[in-house]
Amino acid sequence: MKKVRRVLAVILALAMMLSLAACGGSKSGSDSETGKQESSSNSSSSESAGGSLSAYEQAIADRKAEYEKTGKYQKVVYAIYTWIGKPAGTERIQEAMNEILREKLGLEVELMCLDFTSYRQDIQLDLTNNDEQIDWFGGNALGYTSCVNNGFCYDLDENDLLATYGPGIEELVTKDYQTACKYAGHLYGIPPVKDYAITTAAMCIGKEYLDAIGYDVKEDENQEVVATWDEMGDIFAKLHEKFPDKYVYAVAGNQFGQGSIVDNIGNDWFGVLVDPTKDLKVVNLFETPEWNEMVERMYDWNQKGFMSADALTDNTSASAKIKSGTYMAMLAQSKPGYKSQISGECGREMVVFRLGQDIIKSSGIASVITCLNQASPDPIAAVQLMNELYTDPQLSTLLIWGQEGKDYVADPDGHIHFPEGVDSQNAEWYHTMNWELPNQYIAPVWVGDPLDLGPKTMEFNANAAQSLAMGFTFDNSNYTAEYTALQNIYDEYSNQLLYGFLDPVSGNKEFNDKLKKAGLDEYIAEKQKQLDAWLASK
Amino acid sequence: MKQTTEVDTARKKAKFKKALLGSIPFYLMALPGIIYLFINNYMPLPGLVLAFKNYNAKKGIYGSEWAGLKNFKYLFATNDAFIITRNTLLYNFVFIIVNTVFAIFVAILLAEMRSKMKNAYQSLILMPYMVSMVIVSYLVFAFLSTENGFLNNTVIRLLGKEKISWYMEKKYWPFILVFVHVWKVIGYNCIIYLSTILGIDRTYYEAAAIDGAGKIRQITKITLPLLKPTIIMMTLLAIGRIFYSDFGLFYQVPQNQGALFSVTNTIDTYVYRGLLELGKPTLSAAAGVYQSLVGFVLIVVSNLVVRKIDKDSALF
Repeated sequence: MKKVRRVLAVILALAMMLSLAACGGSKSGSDSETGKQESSSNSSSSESAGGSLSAYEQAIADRKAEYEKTGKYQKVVYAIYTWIGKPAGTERIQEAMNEILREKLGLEVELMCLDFTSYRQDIQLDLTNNDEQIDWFGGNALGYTSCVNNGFCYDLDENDLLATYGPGIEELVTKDYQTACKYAGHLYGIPPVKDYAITTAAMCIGKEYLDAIGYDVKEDENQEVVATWDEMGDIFAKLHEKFPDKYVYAVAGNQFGQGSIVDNIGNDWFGVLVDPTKDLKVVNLFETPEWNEMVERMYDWNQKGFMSADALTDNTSASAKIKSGTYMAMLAQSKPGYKSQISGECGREMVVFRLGQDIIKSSGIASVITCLNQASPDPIAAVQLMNELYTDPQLSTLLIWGQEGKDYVADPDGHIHFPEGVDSQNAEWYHTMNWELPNQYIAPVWVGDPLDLGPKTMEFNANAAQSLAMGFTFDNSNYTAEYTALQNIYDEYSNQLLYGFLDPVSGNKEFNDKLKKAGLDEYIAEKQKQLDAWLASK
Repeated sequence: MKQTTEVDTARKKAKFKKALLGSIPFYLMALPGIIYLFINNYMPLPGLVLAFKNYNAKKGIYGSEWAGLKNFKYLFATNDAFIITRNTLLYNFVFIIVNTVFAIFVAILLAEMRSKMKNAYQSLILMPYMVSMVIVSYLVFAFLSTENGFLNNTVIRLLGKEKISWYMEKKYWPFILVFVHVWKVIGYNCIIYLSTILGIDRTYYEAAAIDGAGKIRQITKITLPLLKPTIIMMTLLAIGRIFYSDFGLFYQVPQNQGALFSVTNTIDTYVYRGLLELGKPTLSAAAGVYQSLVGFVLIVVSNLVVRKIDKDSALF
């Protein structure tokens, strides 16, 4: 008996170990087929009905007929990530949208709002199991490339799905921008209408601190001050002298991602385009003069005491640090209307210094992207819903700002703001996820932003220089071993160098030596090869 | 003569039946656990096949193409493979020893305690085990922060030394990690030893006391020998998990600091960093299979060794 008990204990223990490995993912497969079958049966029925109705209208008529029979509307689930989880007013907004959608499209939407921190995991599990219906989801939250590689996304070009059922989207997201979101020639997601370009290297400093050192702020018509990195160093020195108890610079390691035009093609830093508007040679960033200059500057700033000695371990966001009142400056990327956004985030008036230039990087357009689940029960309904969200101002306003009178009220000049007694703390629908949702520019403008924000943003996109590799995606599935090793080395060194805690010469040499040993050169060569092949196919 | 043996076997049978019937309630009590185990640990086992596939959601797990051993390559192909394996093994090795020694020490202290506060102490020691590693990492940070940390502002200052950048000096971290780990799990580990000690017949101790054995003698001659089977079982189970590392301890507590990687990077953190962007379930499944297999082999081998030395103490 004793032996049996022991053996049982061992088996239980082994099971515990193995289960960890087996965790995640069980069934799938069979579900995916049903989606396609349904969609094809839908389209065939619309063909057989033929006659005067277009495919677009036919699909709506079919769904309404289906409703007469079953008493149930086709449901489309839209999984949205927010910073605040599920807002209290979700059901109310959803119902208000459905009142319009039932009549207009013969379908209902379900808004599945999840907190960003759990979104990635929850959605990834759902996409693997498909126990629960999900149609649209934020591909960028899971990594667009990884979504495509795992086969999560529906090909929107298949049978001209988007062209037939999403004409409004086709118009707003032009062919150029669509191309930038394609993966191996197929469109697996659509970006929202937003700013695709960025103004690199916007140094934001609290105005009160600049006033205290007697700096004369001269903003241009974009509410920005044109300056250079050297000037920033001078201002920082004065700030440091005047406020010895505060830290000057809330360093965040984003000097190349947001602070330069260097294009990290393929979504990693192992092989980049240093001047992506002109040169398509893939190089090792960590040996370029641009990198060296930056890490030397950061080392210098750190030595001068502009940064906190705890900078590496402090994960608080830069704007939250400035809001706390102990830091004075941070680096970000700018765009039209940025001054009011960053001033809001930092809780004080900020002056935006423009050190860089406007550019659309290769990943700029696909950086926020909405994808359709390959197991979607009714892709046509899903695309038609999305089409309305891109084009119907009423629906877009509901989705972005909520209901007039309850969630916002309008000023005579057109700006909207909170009604009496509502603020950001107790609001039922104030998620500020405008940039994630299909089209914020057909909804009213919140107080603080210029009324012509939409046109200004479009102009900003149109005038910005574009990376020549715009739309290039890198498939590293044959280089996962190298990638994993490189990423670990990058995590080891990059922040120490970019935060100025490691000697820029010896530290950087060590960094490069390790990367090369881990196969950086082969990785870069493969990237160049795929980039050349992609160019040739264009 | 013959009759008596027959009666004997009949009696034995009846006794066995009675024992079996008597234990039904206990099996019923175990049932939820067994069902849970089956659902959670046995049903997903076929999913292991994922480690050998080129996964595509459209084709499903079983419909995806076979990839052979390709998914395992990244665990061995690099220079870091040695470091992460070394760290994982050595830390776990040290944990096994230190945990056992301290857990038994505390268990004996608790068992010998006659104070009314005994239960309070036991709960207090258990408390860290209930705390999430993320919170632990901030507790540690409160001690070690360079500018505002407790250590730098009290002990180090009193000693008149320069502030130490704890999160950039790797030489301290093997000790910090072992300390934090022991502090966290000791309450939980000592429960098992404590319950074994409390199950030891008190008459042994009384007899020993009459024969003039002091407390120390009682511990070394009675408590420890009777604890041996438990120690061996716990150690064997720990060996089975020697290729796993406590992710929270090695990722959260050092605040994911690059400067410390050479002493904090383990198989789990390495895989996590690499896969964060790749999002490939096949690669993490491969890592899991590798860890389980090595654990399985190690547990069988160490059991063999134990059986050679002391047959009664072996698990199987």
